[in-house]
Amino acid sequence: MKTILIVDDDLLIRNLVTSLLMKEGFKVIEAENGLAALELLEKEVCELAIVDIMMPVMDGYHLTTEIRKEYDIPIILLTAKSQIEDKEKGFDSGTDDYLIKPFEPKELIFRVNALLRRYGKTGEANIKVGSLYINKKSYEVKIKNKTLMLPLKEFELLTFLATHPNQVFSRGHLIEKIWGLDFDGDERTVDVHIKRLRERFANIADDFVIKTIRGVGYSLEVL
Amino acid sequence: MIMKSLYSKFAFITIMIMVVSGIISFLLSNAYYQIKLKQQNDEKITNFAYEIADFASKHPLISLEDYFNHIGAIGYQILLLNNDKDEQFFGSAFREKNLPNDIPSQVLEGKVYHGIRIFPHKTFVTGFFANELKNSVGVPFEYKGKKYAMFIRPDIKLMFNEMHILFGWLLIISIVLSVILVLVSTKFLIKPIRKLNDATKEIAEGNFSIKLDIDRSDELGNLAVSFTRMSQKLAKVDALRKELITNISHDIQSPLTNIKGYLNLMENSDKSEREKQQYLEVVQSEVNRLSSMTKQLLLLSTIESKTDLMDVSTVDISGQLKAVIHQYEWSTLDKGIMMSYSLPDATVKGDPALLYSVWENLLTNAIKYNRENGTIEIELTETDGEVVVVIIDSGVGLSLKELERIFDRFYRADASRARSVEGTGLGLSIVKSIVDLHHGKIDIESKEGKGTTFTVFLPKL
Repeated sequence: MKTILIVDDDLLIRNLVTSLLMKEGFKVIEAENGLAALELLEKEVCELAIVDIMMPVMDGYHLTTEIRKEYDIPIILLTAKSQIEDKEKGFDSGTDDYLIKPFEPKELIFRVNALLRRYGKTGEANIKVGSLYINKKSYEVKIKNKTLMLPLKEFELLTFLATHPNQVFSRGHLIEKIWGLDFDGDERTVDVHIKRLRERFANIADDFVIKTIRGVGYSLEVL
Repeated sequence: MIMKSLYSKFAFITIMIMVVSGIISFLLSNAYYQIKLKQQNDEKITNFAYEIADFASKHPLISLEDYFNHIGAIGYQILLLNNDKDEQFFGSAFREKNLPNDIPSQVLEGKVYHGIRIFPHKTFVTGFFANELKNSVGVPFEYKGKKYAMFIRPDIKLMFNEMHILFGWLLIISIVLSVILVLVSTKFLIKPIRKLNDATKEIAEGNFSIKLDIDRSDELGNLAVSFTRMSQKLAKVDALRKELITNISHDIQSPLTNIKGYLNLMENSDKSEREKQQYLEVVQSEVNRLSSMTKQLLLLSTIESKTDLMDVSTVDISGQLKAVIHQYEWSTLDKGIMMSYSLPDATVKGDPALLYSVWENLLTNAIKYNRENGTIEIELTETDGEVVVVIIDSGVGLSLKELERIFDRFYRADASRARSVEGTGLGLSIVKSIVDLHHGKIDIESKEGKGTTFTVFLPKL
C-alpha cells in the first residue's frame, strides 16, 4: 500500500483528499502545515506529497523546496485558480505537478496515479522506431513535429510492441504484460485497442504498421 | 420675463443683437461726424458763406433783402446783422436763436465764426441736424460802405426732407422685416430640436421604433442621423436584454427546480441509501451548473463592458495551450480520447487570462462533445500577421442550423443532449467576445456525426 502525505491547513480539504485517496486504496497521512509535514516525513515513508500553497508557518513553495532537499518523492501543489500565474514559481521550487482548486475527484486520482507511474523511471530508455519516438517518462509519443497523448492502455500496448519490433506476441501474452494477471476481461480487449491504435496512426505515420499474424497474435513491423 | 422655450430665447437674443448693434453703429458714426466730418462740413459752409457775402458786397445794385430772400429760398437759413443791431432772418426760421452775445460784434469787427465746428459734442445728438443759430457759420462783409455780419447754415430740413423720409422708411421697414424674419426662421431652426425632443420622450417611454423626418445636411441633420442610429442600437440592446433575462431566468429556474425536487425526494425516509446518494449527485451537479453559470456570466459581462484590452502583454500561445492540455489531460484520457498537437512557439499581444479561457472553453467543448475513444487535434501555426490555432474534434458535430446560433448566449445545440452534457451555453459567446476584443476571427466547420473544427485567428498587433 502506497502512502501519500497531504498538507493543507483546511481540514475540509484534507478530509476530502483523504477519503478520495483511501477509496483508491492509498494510505494517507495528514499534516496541517509545513513544519508538521517535515516532522511526519522523518517518521514515516511516503511515496508522494500533496501540498497546498497558502499555509501558515511555512508555505507550500518553501515546503516543496525543503522536501526536495531531503527526499526523492513526487509533489503535487494545490493552488487556487487565481494563482495560476504563479505556477512558474511552483515549478521553480521543484514541484512535479499542480492541481487547481476546485478540482474533480477524478483529476486528483489521475494525477496521483500518473506521477507515481512515471516517478523513478528516469533510467528507462526512450524508444525510437522509425519516425516514432516514445517518451516513457512523460507518457508522450512524438511523430515528426506532432505530440500525441494516448490513453494509458493504448500507450502501454504501443510501447511494449515498439520495444520489441518485428516480434510476434500472442493476445494472452499482451494481456498479461499490459493489463496484468488479474485482468478478467477477454482477449477481444486487445483487438479493440489494436484497432484503435491503427486508426490513430493511419494518417500520421507511414513507416510502421501493427500487423495481425493469423492464429498467433500481433507484431509491430518497421517498414 | 422668463423665457422657457429655446425659440423665444433665440428670437429675443437675435432682436437684442440688432438693437444693440444699431445703437453702437449710431454712436460710432456720430463720433466719426464729430471728429472728422464736422470739420469738413464747417469748411464747406464757410466757403459758401464767403461766396454769398462776396457776391453781395460786389453787387451793390442788387437789393440786399432781395438777394438774401433768394438765397434763403434755395435752402439756407440766414441771419443778417449790421452795426445798428438790426436783425433780419431769411429762409426758414431757426428752431433756437441762441447765439452767444459777444459773437455778433466780433464778426462785425471782421472775425469769422465757426459755429458748426465748435458745436458741442453730444453723445446722442448729431450736430449735423441741430437747427440752431449757434450751429452756423458767421462771416463779415461790407455792403454800400456798411458793415454787416451774416450767419448762415444749410436748411437741412428743406434740402434733405425726402431723403429723411426715405431713410426713415428704409430703417423702419428693415427693422420690421428682420424681426419678422427672425421670428419665422427661428421657428424653422427650432423645429427639428422640438422633433428630437419628442423622439427622446418616446424613447424614454420605451418606444424605440421612432422615425425622424429631419432631412438636413447640417449639424442638426447629423444629430438626427446619430439619434436614429442610437435608437436603433438601443432597440437592439433592449431586445437582447429581454432575451437574456428570459434565458437566465429559465436557466436558473431549471436547476433550482431539480434541486428542490430532489431535496424533497430525499426527505422521504423510505428511500434507500443508494437512491439518496444518486439524488445527492444530481443536486451537486445542478449546484455546480449554477455556480459555473454565474461565474461565466460575470466573465462575459466584464468582457463585454470592455471596449479595449486592459492588461495587454505578450502571451505565449503555445505555452498556454500546453498548460490547458495538461490541465485537461485527465479528462481526455478518462474518456479514451487521444490528443495530438504540434505547438511551435508563437506569441501575440493580448490579455493572458482572457486568452487562456478561450483555449479552456474550446478544449473542454472538444472533450465534452467528443465520442468515447475519439481524437482531438490541436495545431498552432504562425504567419507574418497572425497566429492561427486549429482545434479539431471527432465529436457529434453541428447542423447548419445549429452553427448559425452557436455563439448566441445560452444557446445549446441539441436540447435533448444538453441535459446529459454539463454546460451553460455561455462558453462560445465568451470565446467570441474575447476573440473580437483581440480583433481576431473565429471560424467553425462542422459535419454532423463527424466532428467540428474551430479555427481562431489572432492578429499579432
